[in-house]
Amino acid sequence: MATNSGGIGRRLLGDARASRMFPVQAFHSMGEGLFAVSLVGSLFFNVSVDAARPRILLYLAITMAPFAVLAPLIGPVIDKFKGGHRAILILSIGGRAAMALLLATQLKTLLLYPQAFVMVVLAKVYGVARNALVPSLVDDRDHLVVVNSHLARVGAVAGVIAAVGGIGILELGGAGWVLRAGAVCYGLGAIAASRLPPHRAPDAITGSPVVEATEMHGPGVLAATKGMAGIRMATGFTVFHVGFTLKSAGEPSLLIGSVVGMTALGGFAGTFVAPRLRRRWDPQLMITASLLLVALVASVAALRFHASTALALGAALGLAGSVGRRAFDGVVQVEAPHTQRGQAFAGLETRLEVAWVIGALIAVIARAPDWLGLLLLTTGLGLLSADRLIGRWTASHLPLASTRVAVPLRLLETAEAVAAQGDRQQAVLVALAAADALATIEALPTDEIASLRRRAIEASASNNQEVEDQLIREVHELVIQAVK
Amino acid sequence: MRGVDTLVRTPSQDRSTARHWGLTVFMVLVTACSSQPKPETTDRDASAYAAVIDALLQGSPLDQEDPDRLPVIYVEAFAQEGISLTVQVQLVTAYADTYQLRFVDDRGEALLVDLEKQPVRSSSALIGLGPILGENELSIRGERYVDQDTIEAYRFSLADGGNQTWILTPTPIDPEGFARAP
Repeated sequence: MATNSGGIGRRLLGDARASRMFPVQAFHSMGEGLFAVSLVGSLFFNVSVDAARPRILLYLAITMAPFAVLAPLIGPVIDKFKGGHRAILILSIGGRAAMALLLATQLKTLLLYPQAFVMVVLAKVYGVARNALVPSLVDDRDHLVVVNSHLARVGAVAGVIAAVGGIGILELGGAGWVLRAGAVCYGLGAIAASRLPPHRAPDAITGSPVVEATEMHGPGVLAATKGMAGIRMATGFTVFHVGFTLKSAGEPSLLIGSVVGMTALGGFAGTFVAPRLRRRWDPQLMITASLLLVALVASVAALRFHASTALALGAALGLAGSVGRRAFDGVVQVEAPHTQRGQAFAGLETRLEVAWVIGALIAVIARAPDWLGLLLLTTGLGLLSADRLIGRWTASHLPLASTRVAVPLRLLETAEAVAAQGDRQQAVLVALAAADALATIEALPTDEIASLRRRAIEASASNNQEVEDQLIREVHELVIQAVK
Repeated sequence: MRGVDTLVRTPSQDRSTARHWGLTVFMVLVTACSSQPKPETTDRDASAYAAVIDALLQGSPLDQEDPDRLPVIYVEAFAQEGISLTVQVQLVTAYADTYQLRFVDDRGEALLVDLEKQPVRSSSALIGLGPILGENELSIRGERYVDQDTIEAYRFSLADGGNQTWILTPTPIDPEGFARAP
């Protein structure tokens, strides 16, 4: 049982294993901040958007290609290879260090485009790998949301500090030196990644692909994923739409940088707002509220696009992204309590990153006037929010018990279907996951769960089908009792 | 796992990857199909435009408010198809030590549109460049915008002076490029 000091320590720093991600995240975010500042001195602001658009489109599209290939590999590398998680992080962060050094001398050449987009791809690989890895570093799954909040805060603060320093370097030495400083930060991040603790291998239940598939494709997780994808798509769209609009309006690059800064500030604020909201609202409602917030601010910006509304939109996107992310983690924590394999999270994160790219592509292809693009954004997010609210209203008419036990019920159904197919060993694992999930809701005696586990292991070892069938029937009774 | 895929609906990794590849190939084809100018043409165009820009700026040095910052030259292309990205990059690089060249799609980027006569932003100049006509002897419209009432316009004839230099003959003409609405 954790002592009080352990509880305080966990509250401040998170789990001991997971806290080793903090320097990795900090250095990576510092590199990100410096990279963003260096773009002020790049070719992006010298050439016309119309002339650059085909190239931007090409490289955005190409961003998806390596990502489509790389992202499905991240999870298996994390899961199957000892130190695989470290390797992925070191490669992605170290790769950014190398690219930053290369880019430092080519900011005013056409090679800026492919190199900048390689940086984007590596950033997304890092994001997928990090989010796939964190659940396995957390000692207690209940702390997943806390740990992710800490990581977000560390990243936001580090990024802002680095960006401010980067502006000073830009004035004194130019954009090339900003990138070199960024390369140093990335390099330190790669070193910190090499010191991450070993990845915890999943046990029989958490390593079961059937349990994982059942939990990760439940309606709650799918709805949360759809909502988060909406937020990510809105972010990708807004980055390019607002960036192009501000440039066309002759606004100084400082304003564009300030919008980025407001996004980071909004994200930082979200790490404090989210826990307070969580006390009043369930996570799905938090995601819907995040979508509605961005839709509302975008509608105001559509009526009057100005520096102030652009900054407000940046802040809203940051806040929505942060609150939505905390809520999303909460949904996964509750509805996929046994999912731990990197592969599952890598798949989720890939979909979210692709949503960002699609949003960016839409903005670049459409090249709509400021008010029209923002109106489209408002409409899209409004429709998604309405869909979610209608689904919520429909679900609210279901008996309370059946929604509470939805996860164990779904796992039980899968267990019985798998058993009917003849794979009793896997069916028992899934049934145990159902009992485990039920135990957290119904406060089943831990010794009852322990007894089920022990008998399952014995039955599996002796390949005793009668005992396995009996176990599944017992779990069936437990779940049905809970439904009534 | 026998039969599990039929029991648990899982988005196929293959279908998802195929969608990504399909979209990527489509986008690459769409964007790569746009024609690219030959390298020797871009070199010629860049040097010709540079000669015109130098001629338009000659004799009218820019006031530099901040001696630590390079003066900004905004450039608007009068031709429908604009100036290619490669030529723009070559020009930006060529002037990197003397000016900050910025190509604009919208004239408003360069002007103080809320002021009377819509002057150019301070410490800046706005140059307009027409399409390059002719083969051996080139002809380019070049204009310099100061405000709505002050526009210098020339038709430049460029003869090859060897070694990527040009002999320019400017002929004053009526401003048309900046006189048209953006």
